[in-house]
Amino acid sequence: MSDLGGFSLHELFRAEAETHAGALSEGLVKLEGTSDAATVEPLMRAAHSIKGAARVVGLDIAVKLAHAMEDVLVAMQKGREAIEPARIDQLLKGTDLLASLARVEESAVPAWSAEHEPAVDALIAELRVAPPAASAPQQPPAPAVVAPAVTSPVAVEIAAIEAPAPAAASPQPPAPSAPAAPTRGASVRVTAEKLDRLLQLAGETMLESRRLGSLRDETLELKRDLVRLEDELDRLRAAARRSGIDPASLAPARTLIESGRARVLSHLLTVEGAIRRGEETSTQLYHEVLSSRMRPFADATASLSRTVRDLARQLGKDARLEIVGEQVPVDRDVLVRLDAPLNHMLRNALDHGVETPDERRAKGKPAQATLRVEARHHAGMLRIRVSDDGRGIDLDALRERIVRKSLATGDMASTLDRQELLEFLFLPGFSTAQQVTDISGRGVGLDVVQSTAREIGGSARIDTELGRGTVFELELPITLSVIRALLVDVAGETLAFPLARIERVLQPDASEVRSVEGRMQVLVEGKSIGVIDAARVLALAETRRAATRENLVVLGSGGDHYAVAVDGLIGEEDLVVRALDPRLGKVPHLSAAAVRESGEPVLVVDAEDLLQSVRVALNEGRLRGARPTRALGARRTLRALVVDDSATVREVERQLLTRMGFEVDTAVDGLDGLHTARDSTATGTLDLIVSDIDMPRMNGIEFVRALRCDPRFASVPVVVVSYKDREEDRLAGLEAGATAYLTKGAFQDSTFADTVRDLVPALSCAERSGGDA
Amino acid sequence: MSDPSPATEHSNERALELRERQSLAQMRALLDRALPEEDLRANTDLIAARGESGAAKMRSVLVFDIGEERLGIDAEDSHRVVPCSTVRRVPHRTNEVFAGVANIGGELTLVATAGSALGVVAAAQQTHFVVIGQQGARWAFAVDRVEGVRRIDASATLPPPATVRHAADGCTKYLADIAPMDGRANGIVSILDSARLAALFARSLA
Repeated sequence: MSDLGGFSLHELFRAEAETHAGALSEGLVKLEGTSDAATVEPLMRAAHSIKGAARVVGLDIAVKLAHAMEDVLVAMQKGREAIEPARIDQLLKGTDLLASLARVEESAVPAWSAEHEPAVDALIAELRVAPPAASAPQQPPAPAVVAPAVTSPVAVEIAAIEAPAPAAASPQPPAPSAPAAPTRGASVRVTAEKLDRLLQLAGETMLESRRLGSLRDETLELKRDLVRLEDELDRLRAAARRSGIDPASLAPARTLIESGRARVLSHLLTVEGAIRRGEETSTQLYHEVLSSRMRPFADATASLSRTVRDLARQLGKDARLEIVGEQVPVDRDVLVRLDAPLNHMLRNALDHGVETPDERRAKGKPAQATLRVEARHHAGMLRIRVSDDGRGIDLDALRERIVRKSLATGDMASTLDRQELLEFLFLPGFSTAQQVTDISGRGVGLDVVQSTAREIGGSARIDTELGRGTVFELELPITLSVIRALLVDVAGETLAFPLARIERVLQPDASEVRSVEGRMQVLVEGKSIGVIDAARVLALAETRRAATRENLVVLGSGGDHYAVAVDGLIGEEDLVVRALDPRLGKVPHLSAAAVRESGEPVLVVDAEDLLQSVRVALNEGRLRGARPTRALGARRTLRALVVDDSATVREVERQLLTRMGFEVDTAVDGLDGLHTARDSTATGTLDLIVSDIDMPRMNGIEFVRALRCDPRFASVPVVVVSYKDREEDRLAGLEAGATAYLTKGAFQDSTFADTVRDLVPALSCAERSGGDA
Repeated sequence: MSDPSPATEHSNERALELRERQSLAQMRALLDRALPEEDLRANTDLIAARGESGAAKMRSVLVFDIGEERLGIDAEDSHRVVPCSTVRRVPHRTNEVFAGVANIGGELTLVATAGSALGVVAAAQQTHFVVIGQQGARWAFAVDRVEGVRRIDASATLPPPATVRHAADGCTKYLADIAPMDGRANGIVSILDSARLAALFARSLA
């Protein structure tokens, strides 16, 4: 097939159909709400465009469906047909079919067609049955509408072509070459790689034009030389006069110098102008390319009204969706990540938050609930609020549920404050629904909200007021491609710390840094913070050297703070980040690379990952110091590693295993688990590893697989404990190399303990002899 | 009143649609058509001829120095040659062979220490990066001095010594006698196989 800039024709069709189907879906829901015939026109155009695109690639099934839909839309626009919910349903069904076709690879089209042909034909038949005409048929009885289905499409076609160009001035039929030509906001698809490459080249152009500054400096130098030459000539003239030589003989030299100066001056002006224009244009080009990554927030919300409408109907509820901030620009990389969280928050609100119309009326609320999605930029971040005016969350019921699910003891639960309680809603598998529904599933979803936010460097929180509603608030970076960073020098290398991750920067006096039990500490506002040498953690120091500790970057999350000692602070800069070369694999402690404005390469530190390592390094030091020395021949302590991203689950498992006689290390995700496991081999062997499956950064499957590749862990029993209880999940876990696969219900009874005893025979001896003592 | 009658509209529309369909079919036929036999033969001859004609007897090699060694690569294998710039060491990855990343023409390129990979002691001060490989598999390595691109007689090249040929990490493709321009006696240059060189570099990341 022919090829257009890396896309096949079929891919172009898919892209186009997807865009227009999105517009149709959104527009139809709006149309149903307003019944405003004036809003039909863009829908007609969308259907028409799909039809045209389908014809180019020879997809007859899509041509005839889009055609039938267009007929109905035209009839609505002309007022020949009323805008009825039942009709909108049919059109939405058609839109879904087209969207589903747009998701199919070219090779799978025949299969799709075979499968859906009956549905498509049935729908087309439905669409062609003309409903009762609109109440006010001002139109002359158009024969085309009442005529048999075969002829009606043709009549409608004309209207479609005519409608977008209501140029009354032109008596001729519209030019055949331009039916519904896209004008405003027309877009072209470009591959992300191409865009990245453009950005790199634009950046390089900017650098090059700055380097031209040296041309100007050289010209200035030339000008200065000429001035010096002139002075020299003056001296020569004085000397000539003294020696009785006619100074006039030097006049030609003087003229030459003067004309030279004039030429250099005009040259300098030209050069300066060229450099300035070059810099301006290239900087503009660079920012323009950069901003082409931005899309309006509306791109993420297009399908939401539809979701809300369908769900509300299904649940027997009445709700409308308000979207504020549709024009707020957001990086496309962030946008694509928003889809799942937004959907889950709205589903959750409709399912759990919004009451039935009767309930609402009884409470004195309007029968129709209002869901709001608001986006705005705030302090350099994208803030998204999703709120409902439903029943809110009953904190006491939530507390009860936490205890019932054995996620915390009654005592512990009673001490949790409002925010801590609400945090539990983000735990995988936690749901406040009384029963499992297919809408919000089994609490699957809300954990996606938080994990997505965290993955892209943001955060999520919930707030609620009983009887008044619930608010989700996401704070996300506006773009993933530009970050504000602090540049530092570590062992001669320039590294960047994302500003968002830095708590503060310290340049402490020597007296404020001291050694406690062999570990460096710095006193900040009365609190002691552990200090770690960046060069050592990053393995950059050639030789073991004493860190200067004059410049500390304090990183922190939650209550944990650590100070990272660097060799120098360079300054803040906006960096356009790009992925590290994939051939390097996942490099510990690094998240990305960038090129500074000076052209110098910079590596961007993954603060989260670094913090994990620091935590492990410092804790290990403490453990080593604290571990009691045993008498020779004494029983070896059994050691276990618990890996789970939920603090609660981690704590439950830690307590269980400690009670069984293990010394327990914990890690918060697969990557951290791998670091911890490797570090722990320095001080002995591991006897058991317990891991979750769903975790950020590195999931359980990847973790187990990585463990099994390392000869040190090839035979350590690994128990996977997950909320995923389907057979295929279990198989995936075991295939990766897990020794046992349990679901989290295993804590309720003795399953977990029994499994551990089976897998670690040494434990039974230890327990027995422990019991004897 | 200005509305054309429905009948005219019909026929206009039909004609229009028919035309659209026809031109599409024509376009598609043009793009999908098989290449005429004579064109195919002419093209084949053209490409085949390029391999046999006078050009094949001469080849261009990029000659450079690393330490005491005079080395080269086929000029067509070198993506570009640029003055050295900052090489940023990569934590946990930089080693004897893998030096780090450098900004070469806006592209962050992996840089290898060719000297270490080939077992040659390089000069302390290196002047240029030689960049090899396709995008996505690019490697740069620093050289002490670039002598330039030299034209050599392809038939006068020698196979590398057996010891090098059979060594697992031997990178020499062939030897060529190229008279040094600075009057040094030894004119033998080892021409390196850029694919094997890149593979050797890549091994340092494993």
